[in-house]
Amino acid sequence: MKTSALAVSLLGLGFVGGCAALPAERPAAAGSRTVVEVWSGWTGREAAAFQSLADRFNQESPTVFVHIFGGVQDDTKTVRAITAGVPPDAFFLWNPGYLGPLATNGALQPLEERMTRDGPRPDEFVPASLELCRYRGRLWGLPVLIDASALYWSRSAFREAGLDPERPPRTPRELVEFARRLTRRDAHGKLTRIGFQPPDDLNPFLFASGARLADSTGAPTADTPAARKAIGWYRDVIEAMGGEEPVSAFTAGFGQTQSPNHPFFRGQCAMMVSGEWLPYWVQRWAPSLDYGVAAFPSASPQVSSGTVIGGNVLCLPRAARHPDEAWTFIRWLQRADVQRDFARSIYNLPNRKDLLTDPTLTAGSRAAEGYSVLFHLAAGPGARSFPNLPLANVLQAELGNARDFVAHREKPVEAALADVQRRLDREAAASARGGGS
Amino acid sequence: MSGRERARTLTALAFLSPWIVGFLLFTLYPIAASFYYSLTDYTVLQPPRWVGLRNYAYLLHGDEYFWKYAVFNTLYMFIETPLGVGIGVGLALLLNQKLRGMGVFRTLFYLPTLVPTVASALLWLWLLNPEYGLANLGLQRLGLPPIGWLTEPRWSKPAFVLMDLWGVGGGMVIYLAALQGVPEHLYEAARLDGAGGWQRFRHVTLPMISPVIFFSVIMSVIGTFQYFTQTFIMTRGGPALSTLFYALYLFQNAFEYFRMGTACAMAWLLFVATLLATLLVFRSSARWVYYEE
Repeated sequence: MKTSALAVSLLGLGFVGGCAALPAERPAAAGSRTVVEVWSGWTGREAAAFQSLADRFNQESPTVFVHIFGGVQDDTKTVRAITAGVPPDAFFLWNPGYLGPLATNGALQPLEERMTRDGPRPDEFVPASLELCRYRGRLWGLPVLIDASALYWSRSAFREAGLDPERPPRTPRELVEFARRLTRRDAHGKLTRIGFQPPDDLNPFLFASGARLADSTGAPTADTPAARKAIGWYRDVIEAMGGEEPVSAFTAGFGQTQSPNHPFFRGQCAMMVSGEWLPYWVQRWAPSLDYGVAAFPSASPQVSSGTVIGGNVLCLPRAARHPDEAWTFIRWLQRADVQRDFARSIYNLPNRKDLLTDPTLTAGSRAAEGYSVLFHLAAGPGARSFPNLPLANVLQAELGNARDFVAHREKPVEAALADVQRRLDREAAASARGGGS
Repeated sequence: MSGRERARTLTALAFLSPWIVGFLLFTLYPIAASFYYSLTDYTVLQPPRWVGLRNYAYLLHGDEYFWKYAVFNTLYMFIETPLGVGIGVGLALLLNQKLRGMGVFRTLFYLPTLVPTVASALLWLWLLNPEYGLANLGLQRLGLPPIGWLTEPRWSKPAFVLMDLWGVGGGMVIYLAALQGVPEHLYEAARLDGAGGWQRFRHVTLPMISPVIFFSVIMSVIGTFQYFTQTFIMTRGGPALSTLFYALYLFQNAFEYFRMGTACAMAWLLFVATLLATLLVFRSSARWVYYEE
């Protein structure tokens, strides 16, 4: 009796202790090489493409074996692993908004020294792609392919509305006017097509208005004339199509984007902001669609027509067990041939400038031509990314709230942005003094 | 304690030890740790720094969102709890009739409670879809205009109430069991005294099932204070900050804004609020809960 009781309790304790001490499974194929654990957010076809890249690295590398753990789209999982003291050797941030908080709290390794020693040089990168990884002047990660955004328009919808199908809107006023003219309703007044699909966030409007979102000290700034102009412009576009309520009700019924049910393919929206992958989706699911792609209109002549840059930021945690080996892989991912192959397989943009003129990426098909427009926008002077700030997530969330309040006519633009700024100031002050931690 | 008793006690403790260790490590320690962290400036990524009661002071005096979320959640509790209990009791009364096929109806009303919360939230996203949702299709059939359930601030709260009432079957089954436990002779006596249907319900049924209603009210108070999954999946507090469930703000502070100290303080304030609300229900129970001698 006693023996069995002891066995049960030992089993329980062993389980509890074992959970903490269980080593990560070592891939058999690694042999005697150092295993580098890399977490990525990709799933499905994109995860398979990244895995095949890792397989290629593993074939080439005599000393390092990369093991990929995919599908980590919730960055808080990575945060928890870092907190627990068991981070991967390298990880992708799904939401770059986490870069600032992670860097400011000492969770990441800066990479300049390694770059100076081993390369690649910063001038090899599309400039905006490094901005994605920069926080307070230092680089806390490297991009591995980037995203850019542009305005897509349906030429057939333009023709139907009596607009020149070769000429996209070039000013805020034109975007509003075109959205109005392209919007269609049925006999009961119900929307059947919206002229412009509102983007998920305000960034295209903010950047096209020249809003900087942070001052020279790195403090978030939301209530500026440029940001007011941006939200006012957003509101005007929504109003031109009948207001937030019918538009959001209509867009809530939109189908899956990676399918023939994409609202742009089905003619449910005549213009939209999307990324470099869209030409390839058109090629796959709507090959007969007649569309154009150009920079999102700029709100003033002082602001270059531009694009919103996003992307995959690969970071090296401070507590990585094999930082040098992980760096070998991070550096390998910057090789031109690797970037080209990866970009071709997942339709993202390379972050290397020298691939801008690579004909295998930017010519040979209609999709490649559309993709090329975005690649050049990404490398151009109007390319911007959301600033990396300690309060980036608060700023992003509050700007979304301000947009909601304005679009639902619950607050005027000035009041909505003043509220955002007040909250940001209070949060910054609370963070600085350490109360409301 | 004799040697034999001591041996028996040790054996019992040894058998209990997996649970005791689990409880200490995974329940008691996190609770105690969260209280400690609530008194610190803790970003999760850096060691906590003692700040005393500053997190509590900030929440109660400096953070306007805290009160917005707290008031919203309390109001939601006052709407959801009576509705849930009222409809649950009503359904239980209907399903307590001795008719053929009643088992099928009981099963149908109970089924939604078996659907996992995440699955039901995703399902309701479609049911409440303004374009293709069944809810608006029903309204259309009745000649009513469509509603932007989760896209219009004024409709998002009723949408959550509606969704929660779908899961009223869990409480209903308990009321049903209680109804079936009401002694028939009490109804007979009431009838002999000339009591009608309403009077029998008011003076026999309701007092007899009041202990079960009491239990449901307490569970509902606790449940609505902890409401999280549905809003996390469906609205994330939107549109235009119209679904401000307290636990969502707690989560945002902890995992999106790196304010774990504040989040822990919120958790403890939530605990105190839940405790006070439960005590109030307990205190009031002397007036409306009837226990048979």
